[in-house]
Amino acid sequence: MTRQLKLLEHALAGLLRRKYKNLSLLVVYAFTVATLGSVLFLTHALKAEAIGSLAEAPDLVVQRLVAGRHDLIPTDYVVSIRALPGVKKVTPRVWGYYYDALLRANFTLMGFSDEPQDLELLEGRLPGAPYECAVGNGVIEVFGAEIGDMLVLLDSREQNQLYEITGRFKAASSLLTNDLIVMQENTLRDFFAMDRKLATDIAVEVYNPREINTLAKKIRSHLPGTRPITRSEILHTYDTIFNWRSGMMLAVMVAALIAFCILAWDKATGISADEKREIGILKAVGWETADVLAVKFWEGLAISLSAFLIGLTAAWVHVFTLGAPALTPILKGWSVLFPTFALVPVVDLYQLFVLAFLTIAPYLACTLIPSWKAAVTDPEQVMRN
Amino acid sequence: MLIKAENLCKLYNPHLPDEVTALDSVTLEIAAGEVMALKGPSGSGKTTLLSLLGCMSRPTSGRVQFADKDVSRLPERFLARIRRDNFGFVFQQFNLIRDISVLENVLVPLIPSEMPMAQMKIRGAKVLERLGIVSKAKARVNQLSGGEQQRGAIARALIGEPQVIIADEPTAHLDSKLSVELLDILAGLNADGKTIIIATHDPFVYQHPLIRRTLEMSDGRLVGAHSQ
Amino acid sequence: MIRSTLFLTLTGSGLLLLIVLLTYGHSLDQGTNGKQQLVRTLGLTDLALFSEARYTRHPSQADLFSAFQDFPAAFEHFPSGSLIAPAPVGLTRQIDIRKRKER
Repeated sequence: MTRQLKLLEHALAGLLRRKYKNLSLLVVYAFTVATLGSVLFLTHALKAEAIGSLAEAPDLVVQRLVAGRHDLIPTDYVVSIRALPGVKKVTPRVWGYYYDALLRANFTLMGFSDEPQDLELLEGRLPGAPYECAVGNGVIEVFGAEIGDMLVLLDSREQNQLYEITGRFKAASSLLTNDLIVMQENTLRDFFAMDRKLATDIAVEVYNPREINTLAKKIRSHLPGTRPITRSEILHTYDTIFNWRSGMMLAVMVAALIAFCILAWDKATGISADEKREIGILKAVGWETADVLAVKFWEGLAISLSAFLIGLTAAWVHVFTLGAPALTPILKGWSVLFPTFALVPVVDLYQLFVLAFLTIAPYLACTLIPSWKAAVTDPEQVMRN
Repeated sequence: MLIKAENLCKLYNPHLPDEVTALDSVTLEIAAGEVMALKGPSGSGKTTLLSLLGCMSRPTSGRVQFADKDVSRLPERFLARIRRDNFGFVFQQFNLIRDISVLENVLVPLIPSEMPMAQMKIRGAKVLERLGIVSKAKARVNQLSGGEQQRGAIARALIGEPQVIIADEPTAHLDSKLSVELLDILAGLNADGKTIIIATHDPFVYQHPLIRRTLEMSDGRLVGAHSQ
Repeated sequence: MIRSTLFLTLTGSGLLLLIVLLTYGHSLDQGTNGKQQLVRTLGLTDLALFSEARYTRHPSQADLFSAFQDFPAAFEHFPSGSLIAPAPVGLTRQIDIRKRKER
């Protein structure tokens, strides 16, 4: 114990002797860990958020496909689906998109036909009458509107329509509601000039969740041309969805990682003549190879572990308390209405272990191998010039 | 006999075109408490012989016995321990680690031992006291004069309380006044019973009355011996 | 032994801080009730994260062919997106807010 402590002390003294070099290495290293850690934290937290909230999504959503593209579904289908055994409730849904060329923003317009009820995350109320609407926080912010104001939209007959804002979804729900404009179903049909006999899709509730897949198959065979999407498919989508984007960022960061590896490799393998001489001196005065390696191990661990801890803590603060300001521009892409999210700081420990392994182990290897090569030679070299 | 060498041969780069015979059939004995000098031109194999006697490397053929134990075929690990416990080395270049204090340098050999730090520091202070540089304990090596550095190097050699001091060209970087001081220090150590082996081509050293035996080397062989 | 004690203390507390941060997150892993209620009531299926196109706004609902989508100024992530510029759109305001007091 005392021995290891003394070796650690010697290692730290060695690091301090090359302060600036090691400090810059630590900074670059911590920065690399922080960037990679931020991406992992952010995508995992988004995933967890989606899977947590969307656990209550409709059991089945039935779409109609025409020529490979999504098309409006006849409301007649509701009757056929309702007749299937095990079906609890069938609701035709009306929703769609609205693009504003000046803002270059897309909004999601959603019809609502149930009795308005109180929602925890809604300020005000859901639309209870025609020409009323409840909107997401992003819509409110982009226009500087407030409850009671009128939202003016150009409908599909090129007429200005006025809708009174009766409710606003609270910021905490932004991840789900940021771009939403919710109005009564019939109001929305008028707005889109959508035939009463058509709906965007059909939401189906099922008594027994184990029958969802069977039911989906039945719907497909009874109503050809439909595409039933089960809730597990939705969740599965969210389980894999961030791969493309986080994958792109990782691809960009691979460059940073490689640059770092080159730096680490150069630092470690290009063991300087000074360091070689020092290893020789240590050996000459009676150190075993194992002692030299223990010191080098402590040196490597001190750098890599500190960098890992600093980087990961910085990543945590960056993502969960600051809202990932450095990553959102990349994630955001061309979205104008990008939600400000306060993510629940859930972390995938497995990913962290992988990150720890991928950053600490190679660095240790980079420091140990050349030192080992220098340490196994006979120390008599030290006696020569 | 403390150290016995029989038919020592050392080849560098064996079986390669640039093979070099550094030592050729060297046989010698060194008694405990003896002071011995190896003289000869550079390249005559003095340093190689010192490194073999001091358990820093192993002979290509032949045997080295230390305290009646054959050490020439021991694994590196055991050699390191023998070096640490029995030998103190003073190098031509001093070979102190730059940018750390003199005391830290002196304590380096004891770091891999189980001795507590506090005890090590007491021992280090004693050795520095004895060599008269205790006031420089906290100074960095680069701030020291050549003589002070040589004393620091000797202090490091003494910290493990070795039986044998091996010095390779210890006066090469010292002026005549400092050389006198150095030999005084070595004389004091010998008076304490330490065996001393010095490789040198400095006549001041091998003609010094402290040296009772001088072996002469040339081209890796012992070519002469004088006793005073 | 000041340096090693300092190092071990700092690393230890750093590790502890990180563990606290990580477990703190997991203890907060509820509070989705309000969101679940919202999802249930409105029948939401997707996150409102990326609103530039149908297949990013509603990834789980997008049709199987979703290359060039609803956002008229969208760039594509396909290599062809670097050759085919988005069709120009006029700067017409289609949405407005009429303040309560102006009525």
